[in-house]
Amino acid sequence: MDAMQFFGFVGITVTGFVMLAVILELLDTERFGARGERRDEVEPAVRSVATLPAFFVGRAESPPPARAEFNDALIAFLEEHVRTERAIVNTFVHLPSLDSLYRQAPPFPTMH
Amino acid sequence: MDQLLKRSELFEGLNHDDLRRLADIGRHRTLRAGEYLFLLGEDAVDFYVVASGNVDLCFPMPLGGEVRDISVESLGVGKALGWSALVKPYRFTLSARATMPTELVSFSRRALLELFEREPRLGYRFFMRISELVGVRLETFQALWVRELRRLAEQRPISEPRGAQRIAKGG
Repeated sequence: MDAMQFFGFVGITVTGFVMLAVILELLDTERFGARGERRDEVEPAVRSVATLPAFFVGRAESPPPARAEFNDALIAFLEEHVRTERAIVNTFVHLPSLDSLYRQAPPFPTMH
Repeated sequence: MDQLLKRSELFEGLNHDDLRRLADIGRHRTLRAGEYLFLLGEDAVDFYVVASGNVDLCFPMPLGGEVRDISVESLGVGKALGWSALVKPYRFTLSARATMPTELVSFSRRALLELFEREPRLGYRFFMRISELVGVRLETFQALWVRELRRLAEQRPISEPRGAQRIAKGG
């Protein structure tokens, strides 16, 4: 009887461990599957992010916009623009009309 | 000094006595080339007439960590400047810099207002003339601004939202 009880206990314990292992394996598989699904969802986004450097590299290869800084040529350019505009506007002030207000200025001088 | 004032755009048409009264309260001031008469934001106490030389009115412009003055108007002999001294809040809205050795006649606000208290007819004529100069300045900058605005519109046309287009088309 004692031996029967012992083997019964061992059998139940082993069966319990087997059940536990099966359940854990199932859970892990689900987690893995979920991870896989998430990866599937995320990967396109990751890929699109991965392509960004190429996009930026492409832009970076073109000359970067010049950082605005003062120099004598820029100041001369701005002051010449103001002079030209004022000359046009003076006509408007003395003889206001749409034509005199929006009269075309000569093209901007090119800065060298 | 009254002969000099007679040539000023501001005092055109004033009689000898009025010019004499103004000359009595005027003070000579000299500037070296490149010297500033006043700076944007400073208290405006004196009003000036250019007697000789040239003064540029400038807007300080910050760019690339540096502030430089951009000249927007050049004033020669007979031109008046510094009317901010006569109008609240009595602060200069531009900077003024001599481009060559320059002489000016300066009038303090207090001396001018005291004179106009005694001579209201002179004050009336003076302020009428000042209002013309201020008006021209206003119209000039207004027109400059609207021209820049139009330039902006030409360079960056902004399309209407689709919904708005539908509404417009649908009446």
